[in-house]
Amino acid sequence: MISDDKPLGRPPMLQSKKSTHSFLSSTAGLNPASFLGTDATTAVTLASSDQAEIAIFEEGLGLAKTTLSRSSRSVSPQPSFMVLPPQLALDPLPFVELLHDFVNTSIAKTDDTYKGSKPFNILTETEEDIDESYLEEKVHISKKGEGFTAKLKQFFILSSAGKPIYSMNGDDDVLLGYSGLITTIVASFEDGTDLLFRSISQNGFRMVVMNKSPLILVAISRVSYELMLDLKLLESQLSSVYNYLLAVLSAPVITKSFHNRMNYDLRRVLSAQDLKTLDILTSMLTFGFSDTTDDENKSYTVDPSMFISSLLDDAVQCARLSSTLRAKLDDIFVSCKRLKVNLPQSEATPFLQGKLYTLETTKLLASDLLFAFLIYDNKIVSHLHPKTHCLENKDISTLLLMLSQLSPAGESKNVQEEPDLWFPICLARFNDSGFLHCYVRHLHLPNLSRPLTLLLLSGNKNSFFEMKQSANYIFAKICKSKTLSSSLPEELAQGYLPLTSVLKTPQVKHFIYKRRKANQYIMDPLTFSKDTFENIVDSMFILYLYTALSSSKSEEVRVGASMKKLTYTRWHLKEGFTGFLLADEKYELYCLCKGFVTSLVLIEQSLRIVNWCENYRKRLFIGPGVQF
Amino acid sequence: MSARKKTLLKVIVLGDLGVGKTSLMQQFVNKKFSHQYKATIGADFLTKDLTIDNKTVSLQIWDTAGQERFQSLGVAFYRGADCCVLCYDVTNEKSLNNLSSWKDEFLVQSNVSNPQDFPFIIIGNKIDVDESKKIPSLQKKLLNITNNQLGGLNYPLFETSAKDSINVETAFENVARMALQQEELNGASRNDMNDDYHDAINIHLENDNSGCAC
Ligand SMILES: Nc1nc2c(ncn2[C@@H]2O[C@H](COP(=O)(O)OP(=O)(O)OP(=O)(O)O)[C@@H](O)[C@H]2O)c(=O)[nH]1
Ligand SMILES: [Mg+2]
Repeated sequence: MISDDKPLGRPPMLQSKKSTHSFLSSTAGLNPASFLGTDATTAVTLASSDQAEIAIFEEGLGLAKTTLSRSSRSVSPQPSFMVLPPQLALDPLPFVELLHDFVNTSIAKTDDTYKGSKPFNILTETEEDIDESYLEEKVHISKKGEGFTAKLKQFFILSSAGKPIYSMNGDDDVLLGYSGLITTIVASFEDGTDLLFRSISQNGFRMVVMNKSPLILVAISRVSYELMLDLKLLESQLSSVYNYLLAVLSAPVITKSFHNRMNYDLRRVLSAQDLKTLDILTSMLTFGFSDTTDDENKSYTVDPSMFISSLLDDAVQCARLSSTLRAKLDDIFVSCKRLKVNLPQSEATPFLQGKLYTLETTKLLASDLLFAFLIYDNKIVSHLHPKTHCLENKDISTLLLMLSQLSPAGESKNVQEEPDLWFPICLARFNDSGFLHCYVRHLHLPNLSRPLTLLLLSGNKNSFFEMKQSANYIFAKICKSKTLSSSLPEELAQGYLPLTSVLKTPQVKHFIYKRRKANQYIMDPLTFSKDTFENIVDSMFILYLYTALSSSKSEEVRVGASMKKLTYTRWHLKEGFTGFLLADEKYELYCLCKGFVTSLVLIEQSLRIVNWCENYRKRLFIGPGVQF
Repeated sequence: MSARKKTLLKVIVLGDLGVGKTSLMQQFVNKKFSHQYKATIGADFLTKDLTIDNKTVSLQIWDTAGQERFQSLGVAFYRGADCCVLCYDVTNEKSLNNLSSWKDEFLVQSNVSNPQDFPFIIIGNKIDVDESKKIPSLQKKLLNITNNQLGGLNYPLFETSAKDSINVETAFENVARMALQQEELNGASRNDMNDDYHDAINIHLENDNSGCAC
């Protein structure tokens, strides 16, 4: 029998120490007050930073970890409380039985001290209540100097000379001191060595540095769930920030700006919009929401997907669509690429055909088109790319970020009236030294709340009219096709239905399913419908649970030819949650259940999800997209 | 289009230990003076806003340690400075003689592109002390140093007292003005940034496999 109704166990996440360190103070041995006002900010030498654990890169050798003292580790590894008896992993038990044993052993191992009656602060793992003023003080971005050190998360972009370029929080007065301090710490480590400064970690505090001379990017976190994982998460965030900076400036512009003048102030070439986008990016990446307040209304967008994407190694989200419809859209892309248009008489060029010169009177309309996307609600519907090139997910995410910051789609139902957008963008992972040119237009389909967005990326800055004509062609094809015009809106709208009800897995409250090879994921749609404050907390709660789940120690078992990774975790927060992770070389399933479900139900339902996702993988994931 | 409000200026203050660099900063920024000597460790960062010719600037002042063991703090200190302040103590002849090695150290480490035109300023501090304690025939020695030495230290010179707040404000206003000039010079020298947006990417669709690993 499965005994799942044991008293509540104490979740391992609650065991980490209360963090009372203020920003940087514990690392540098400084008085935090000295950062404020005009008091001097003292640079530290190696000798005074003897408490922290510092990680540095050794060139060519990957990571070398130098522990400067025997201090406690910043993040205690999640204790394993779900070890399979060794013989279990070896016995060729049927998979399902094996899962049951695993879950039951895990449940038996949980210790039962914490009753979870007190409020639990997911940001700091303390009992401090999270209310609106708490968020205001610790979470929301503020460009004021006062209260700077209370923030749980900081992002900085500095020049190597120590001049601030961007900071998530704080004003110039505070930042000038910090910038000097950070550059000094980094440079003191790196000077005269081949080492790259990577991070400082201490109980409840972590600073991660990315040195991209002439720039230094820094993330500092005291957010509990960000500290559960290794450095990878914060490093991925930093590279997203850097990728955005490159997208608007490109690497040569940054290098040239500082060439022969290290005192250059890069803010000269950044617009107010760029800085605002960085605010949205940094807040989304950390807390799963961003401030979208305009002149009149205070408002926030809650969306944990950017955080989840970096948790899942930059996986991107796809829109659910039947393979017939997707194939039709793909065909339209390919046919657009092959489309020939008549040349005006004057431009006709003679060419050799066999032994005869013929006058070439047509040309390929979209010869400069490199990549095309159809996007719905930030999810990829269809994607075209050349045989020889494809885009990395980091670049696609940057593109989507840019897209979300462009002027919102008009409400016009008339295709012709939708404005064309045309802007240069440097997709750095693809090519960081030049710009592609991006054409954007929205298409409003009947009965859909959001528009379908077409993105056409061209290598030629003079191809605006060709791209516009291509867009006309693509939209006309979509609207003319009976199947597409009727089924596309219907199917896209279905994307908002909770999958857990489609799949009849009522115990599973939410899940994420990722295909590893394509590095794409789908998740149960999340709807946040309460007031802003509650939505923000709910969203952060989801980030907390998924991060805790993916950082909990997992067990590997062999099933036939494949290695399965299993993690089972229970949280005694609120009404209690159960988390279950099942992964192998093909997929990763993360699921969250409310309450403590029996292993029978948990396993039956999660296997149903896996089977369903694998069966329908063609409609759930677009894979590499269509080639030309 | 630019989001920039204030111009940021990085100012480095160099000089032998005990000449009064930290005292000058404290007087300039916080209008405070202390007789107690507490050697600076590494460097301190102070910030002060000034209005120069109707323009607000933020000075990010890097007050460094004069003590020898901190002098290898490295390029981060010197890199990208907009102005460098060289300090000596009017009662300490050695500190005066060391000025040119401070300057050389700065030029080597900062790797500035225009060493001839880089703005330096010299401050002789502690002029409040008794005439008897001052360096004998200071003016002559100063002339020697500013004109005759290799490279020369022909820079604006201010005599100050951090203790009695003499000339401190004036000296730093000049620092700010010179730094601002340097910054604007550099900023203006490249307004052709827009050209970079026109660099087309060369992509050979037919035969180039280097673009990605797919
Ligand atoms: N009489 C007088 N004493 C001064 C003046 N400025 C500084 N002092 C004294 O000189 C001593 C050294 O001053 P600091 O400002 O700490 O010297 P510093 O150049 O910062 O020294 P380091 O940090 O070690 O390089 C202190 O005891 C000050 O009180 C001044 O204008 N007049
Ligand atoms: Mg000092």
